[in-house]
Amino acid sequence: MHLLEVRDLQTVFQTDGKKIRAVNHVSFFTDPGEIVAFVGESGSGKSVTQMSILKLVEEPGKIVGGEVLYKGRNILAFDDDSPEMRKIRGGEIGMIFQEPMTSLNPVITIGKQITEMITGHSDSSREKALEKAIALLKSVGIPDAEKRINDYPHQFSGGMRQRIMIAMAMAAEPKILIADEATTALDVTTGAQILDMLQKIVRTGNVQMTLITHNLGVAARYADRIYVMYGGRILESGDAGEIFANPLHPYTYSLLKAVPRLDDDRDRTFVPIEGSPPDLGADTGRCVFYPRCKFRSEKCDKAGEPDLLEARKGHHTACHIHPDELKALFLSAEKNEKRQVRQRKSISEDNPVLTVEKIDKHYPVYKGVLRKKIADVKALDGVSISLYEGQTLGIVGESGCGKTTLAKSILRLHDITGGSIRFRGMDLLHTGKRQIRSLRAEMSMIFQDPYLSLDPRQSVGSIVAEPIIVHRMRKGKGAIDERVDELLRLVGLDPSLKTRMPHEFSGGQRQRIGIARALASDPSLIICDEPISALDVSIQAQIINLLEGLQAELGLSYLFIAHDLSVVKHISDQIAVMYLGRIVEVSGSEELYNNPLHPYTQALLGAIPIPDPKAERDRKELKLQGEPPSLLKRPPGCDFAGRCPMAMEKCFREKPELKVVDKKHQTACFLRET
Amino acid sequence: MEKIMSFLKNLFDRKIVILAAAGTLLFIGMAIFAPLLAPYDPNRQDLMSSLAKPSAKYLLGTDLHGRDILSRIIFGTRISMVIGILAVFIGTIIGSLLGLIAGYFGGIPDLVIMRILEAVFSIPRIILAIALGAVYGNGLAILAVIIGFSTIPGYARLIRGQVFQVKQNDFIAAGEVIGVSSARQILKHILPNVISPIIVMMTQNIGSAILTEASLSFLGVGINPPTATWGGMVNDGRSYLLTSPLASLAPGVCIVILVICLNILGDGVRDALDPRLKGITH
Repeated sequence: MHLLEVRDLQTVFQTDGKKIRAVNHVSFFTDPGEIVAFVGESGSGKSVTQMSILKLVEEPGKIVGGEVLYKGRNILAFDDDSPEMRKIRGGEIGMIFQEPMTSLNPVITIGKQITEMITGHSDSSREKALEKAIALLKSVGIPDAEKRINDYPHQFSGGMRQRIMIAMAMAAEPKILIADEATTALDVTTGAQILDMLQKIVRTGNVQMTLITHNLGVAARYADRIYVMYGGRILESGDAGEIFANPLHPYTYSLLKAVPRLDDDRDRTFVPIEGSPPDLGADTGRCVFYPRCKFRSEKCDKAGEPDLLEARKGHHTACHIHPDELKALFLSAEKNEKRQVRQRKSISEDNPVLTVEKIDKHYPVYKGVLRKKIADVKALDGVSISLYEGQTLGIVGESGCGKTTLAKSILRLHDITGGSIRFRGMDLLHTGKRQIRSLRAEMSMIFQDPYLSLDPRQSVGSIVAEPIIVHRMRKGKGAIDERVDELLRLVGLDPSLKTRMPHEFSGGQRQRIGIARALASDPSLIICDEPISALDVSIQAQIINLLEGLQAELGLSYLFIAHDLSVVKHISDQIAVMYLGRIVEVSGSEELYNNPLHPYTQALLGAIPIPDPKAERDRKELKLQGEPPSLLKRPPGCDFAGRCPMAMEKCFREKPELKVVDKKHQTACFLRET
Repeated sequence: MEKIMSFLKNLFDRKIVILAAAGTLLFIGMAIFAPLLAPYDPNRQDLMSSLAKPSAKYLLGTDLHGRDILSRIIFGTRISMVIGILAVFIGTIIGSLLGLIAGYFGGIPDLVIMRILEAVFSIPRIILAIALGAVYGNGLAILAVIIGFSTIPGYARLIRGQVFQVKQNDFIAAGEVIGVSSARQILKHILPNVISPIIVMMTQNIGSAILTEASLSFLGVGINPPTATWGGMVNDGRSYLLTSPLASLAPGVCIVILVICLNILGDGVRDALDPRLKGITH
């Protein structure tokens, strides 16, 4: 008997007379002490499946079939609000959600919230519960737990709050822990710490953990078994190693080919999965992946929906094509894959498009009724970068490190405190407003969230036409329309869609619209602020390929800001690593990966999981403790010294400057100074 | 043209909106064709049949002075409509503009606009109306302006808050990066995104403008008697509510129906303007 066994679970959402089959005949099991990952993109049904188990599906959703056997009892038979169900929720099965900011009650101390959880699921006394709460907080790595138990949620950082959530989930000693994208909202180094801790809990406590994630790397690093979901169905399941080494479903295979890997050869081009996620309202009677499948055959069209069958021992796949046949197809696809050796752009040192020298951006902090200035928050502290014609400079760092502030400073969206910015030799800080406006045509920006960056009340045509109209690049309606069509075609959209409104498009398409708008004024520099991090994994490759293609075609220079080093490494010629408003390392992209000099860069690289369990096992990495200090309490020495395992006494006293170590490699670390 | 057609199609997608539009049109028709529709002169007194019950002669009965209630309601529609629409027009345009400027620019313009509005409108509007009425005389236009002005801070505050919210979106930053001028940002990108609450507030304010006119008329600073207004009629009939309820109730019901029609119409317009709701059936 398994700890949890789900048989033929079906959940539908009834909206607008349409039946959305969010969970479609899903069966799986979990056992104590194992980590099971549900991998899928948004809308694949991975979260709804888990919610259905706990009977937490909200209207208009409804569980219409199947069985959920927990310790052999069908818990679907209990009423939603029955005592049995409440005992299972939180008591037997704990859950951790994505947003640690909203899942804690802001007006109650964390101690009270945890003790409530303990007394609610057992009959221990208040004192006992408090003792246990402190022990729990210690076990999830909250320093000074005795003191901090009386603090309110806002007094903790995002990572700490997620730890508190885990402590709360563990309070009732559940047998199953479901982590729904639990580290997605956190920084990579913090996320890695938390997942490591969860892994320890599972291994020592014989708890079963279900990881819901879109990140293949996370699944590869932590999971024992994996279920791949797509369009409400499980398409493939099996041991983690087996799935990554020998994918037996075209979707899994394509996904692995579409995601950038940290250990990639820079010349690898991603093979995107064309098309967009399926419409679950339409019952096609075919395999859900059929419309996007590169390996589909006539058989797939007629044979109905494939069942999840065992192809090898413990390895199930839902595909009509025989596994051996699939293997052959995958092999020949790999052979045909043109190894496009990208033309190495030669770095011409004398032709910088953009030079940023020692810029500072300070925000004053006021206090009291008289608003007396008490301190400066140094969001940027002496940042220098250069970007050369036709090149891409990647800026990496975790949230709050000043990446976006840097972008805004360059675009003159706010004033900076000191330093100089030159664009094509022109000093941007001493240029009049009028000239700045004409410079705006030369520089444009692609934003992170394609849902917030397009005006919902404007048609796509009008959005893309805006820069053309503002900068008077074309005269007359006909000429403008023509240019808009051309731009839409350039980014791979059908120009006939230009009368549509943004909400009618998918995330990937919307990002293409954003790119078309950025190209409309014929810029030579585009600042890309996390342009793919809000997109589904299968769509990311499409956008990366588009950006690379456009760069080659139009000779654009990119300033590419991201927190995901594997993407940055792929697209960038040079990479600058930022920490707490300062640049700690600059080097060529390949060099940075092979030979990271700054301990922070090493830790950042180590924290990013690679979607390949085998490669994961062979990595030696620098594990990082703690979190970045607040900008208000910038340490007197090196900003990183407090977290650095190699810190010397000197590091706590003096700030290291960015120095050239060897050709094209600079770092700000005393360890590299001789 | 195509846009207007698709707007109308979306607007009248719901039956209730058609009903509300028809109701509103009915009242507008009543206002325009009052002299043709009313059976009597609204001010003709038939003192012999004071407070008469409804009959074939006086369909809704008469008031204290023996004036035909139906005729007075029909003529009263004119005053109510004009005051409602004019007041809302003035309040919406000035209030939204101030709110847009305060919200978009923030900082000092915001501080100045909002503090001035608060200072001026800390004076109760009835007292303000009495004072202005004393100076400028109490005509229809003055009344509409006074009522309209008193709604300015409400609009300004609402819009300012909405603008702050919309301003956070990246598409405003995208406009800045492109080099879009402030005027274009406000008119093309901010205004369309804050139009929904403006419309809802407008429809609600038409109703409250009609009611304000009633209370001002009651205090003697509104429309002078014997001109027929709905609010005035409700007040006049108040004392005889038990014996001849129709004198108050009939104009009261008219106010309620018109306000409901306008609110539903307002909701319909708001939904029809929202591109995200297109194609969703109710």
